[in-house]
Amino acid sequence: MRPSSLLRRQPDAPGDGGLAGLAGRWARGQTGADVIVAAVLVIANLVIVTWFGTGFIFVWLLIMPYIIAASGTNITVGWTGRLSFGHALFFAGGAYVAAKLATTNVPAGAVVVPLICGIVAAALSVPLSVVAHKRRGVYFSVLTLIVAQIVYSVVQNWSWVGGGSGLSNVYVQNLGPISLVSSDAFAWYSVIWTIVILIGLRALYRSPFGLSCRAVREDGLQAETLGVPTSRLFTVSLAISAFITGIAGAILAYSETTVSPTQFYWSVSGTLVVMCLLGGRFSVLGPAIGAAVYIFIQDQLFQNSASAADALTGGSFLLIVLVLPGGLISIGERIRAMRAGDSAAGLQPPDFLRELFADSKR
Amino acid sequence: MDTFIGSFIAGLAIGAPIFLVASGLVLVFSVMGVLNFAHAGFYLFGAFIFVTLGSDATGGTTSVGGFIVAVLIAGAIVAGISVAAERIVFIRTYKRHDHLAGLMESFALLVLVQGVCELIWGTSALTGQAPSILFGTISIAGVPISKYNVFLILVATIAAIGLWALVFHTRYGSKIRAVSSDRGMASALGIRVAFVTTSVFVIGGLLAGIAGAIDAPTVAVDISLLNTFTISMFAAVILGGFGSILGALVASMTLGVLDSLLATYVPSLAGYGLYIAFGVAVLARMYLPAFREIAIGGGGTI
Repeated sequence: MRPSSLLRRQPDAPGDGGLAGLAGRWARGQTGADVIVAAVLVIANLVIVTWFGTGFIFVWLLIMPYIIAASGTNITVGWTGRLSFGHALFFAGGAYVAAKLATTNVPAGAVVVPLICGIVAAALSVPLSVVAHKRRGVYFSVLTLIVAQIVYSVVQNWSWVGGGSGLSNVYVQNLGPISLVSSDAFAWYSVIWTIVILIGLRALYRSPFGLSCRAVREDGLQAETLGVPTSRLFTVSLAISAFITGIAGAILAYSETTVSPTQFYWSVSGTLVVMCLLGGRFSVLGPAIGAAVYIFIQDQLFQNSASAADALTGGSFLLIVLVLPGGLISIGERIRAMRAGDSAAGLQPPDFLRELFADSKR
Repeated sequence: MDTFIGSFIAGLAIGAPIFLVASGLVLVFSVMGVLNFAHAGFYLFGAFIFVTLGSDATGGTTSVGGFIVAVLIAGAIVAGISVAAERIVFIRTYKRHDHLAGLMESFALLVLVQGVCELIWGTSALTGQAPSILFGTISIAGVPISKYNVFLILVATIAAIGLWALVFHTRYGSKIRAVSSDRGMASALGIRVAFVTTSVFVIGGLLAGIAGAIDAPTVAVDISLLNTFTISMFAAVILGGFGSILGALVASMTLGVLDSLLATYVPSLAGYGLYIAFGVAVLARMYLPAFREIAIGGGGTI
């Protein structure tokens, strides 16, 4: 059952989602956006590695894992429309697994270890699903927030994972004979992960799974009536979301070479949510743009004054949420709508129907 | 036994500011349907304003008069900030009926509050001054109790009784309850919904500001308080069953007492009280049918 008729508009031709759809589109040469995404990232990486100093490469290496993490978080925040404040759990969980596995010899470790991190993060999502699958709206947000906080305080006092000081000397494993530790090689490594995940997410977004997620977001009750297994769909979507965020955690750990319990803190989840909303949670590429802009503002424009950066990030984020609910990615659409004289068209987010939040308000 | 009573009362004092903040949050949530993430930021504003007033006002907050004035000024300024937040940010939310957007906007506000606090007051910890009359201990039934703790509990008690009287025994309170249960119908009956909503933000801001101010002499006032207090506040609201002031009262006090008792008797678990209470509550709701719909304190509206 494909409840695409529930959606506001129908941008996706039937059958072009999923891996088969992706293969089909590649065979027909209809891969426009995918190729553009890959090309932009590859060219940016080439330019940065070749011409920019190590200072900016460091920021770039921070942007990559956050792009992946925000895109993963957006499966929960944007696709299924549940504002999770617990994704630091998966992000930091992935990072810690990567740190613990850093010294072990895993075959093809550069590829396999991040996948293991993702799987562990997905496993971590199961208890959260069990506790939270019936909760929506505000209750869900606060519940995920507190569950992640519990893990934070446990990790902080757990000496096996380094306690309050965390673990250090986390380096990416070799890919066959190639060492990926140098910043140039690692930049290419992160970019390839980012491209693979973004293209994969685009395919998933158009697949029946992605359509069902969006249907549940628009109207859970109607979607369920039409045969979408809402509860199972949520568990699966949270697991996929956690899986991707966990991979991002591994890449972040390699990029920073240390992990610490502060990565579990709820403000990290908040940052991921901010990235999704900043870029635009109703698209696949929005969170990626949001992550890049956020890290760039935070680390590059205001290096000398962290507090000014916080105030400005907060202020601009508030402005965007108020003026541009669709995020940065909707600027074009908004301008087009304003030109057409319909000032309200670009402003409105999809209506979240009231019963979607009935549980939290009771 | 003396240790137990002392620890229990210290716990109530920990719960007192949490209750002041959580009750304002609950009030705003039941009227607006928006959970204000930035509410802990209002608490922090109150604490910072109190510390600032204490450092340069004549006599500062070490005199009783100066202390009371500083607490009230902190409450009033925060109430003003709260109203500004409502008029600028949240007013859009209930026009759109979009709760998720409200949550985001309040989170954005939290980040902004954090940045503004860092800009104005820096990142190092400050301490508030209290009048000497609140120092030392008094003896209740042979148990020495810190006077400041008694003061905190007293303020929370007054606030609880005041809120109860206001919400359930005044005409204005019935308007709040009407708007909370059905906005459209309340408006149709001639209640000025916009006024009620704004005034609820005034009450919430006032309580949060006062909570921050009276808590300032007992804690290290710095930006990290924002994160820890947000967690306690949300835990109290969620344990109290969202939208029940009585629930928030019971939950805040339970959290405070649990924290204090753990610190006294099981020091290795100190700081986990919140999580233990939360875990028990969530599991009880999931597996014990009797607890499915009711929280501590009964849940329900306001």
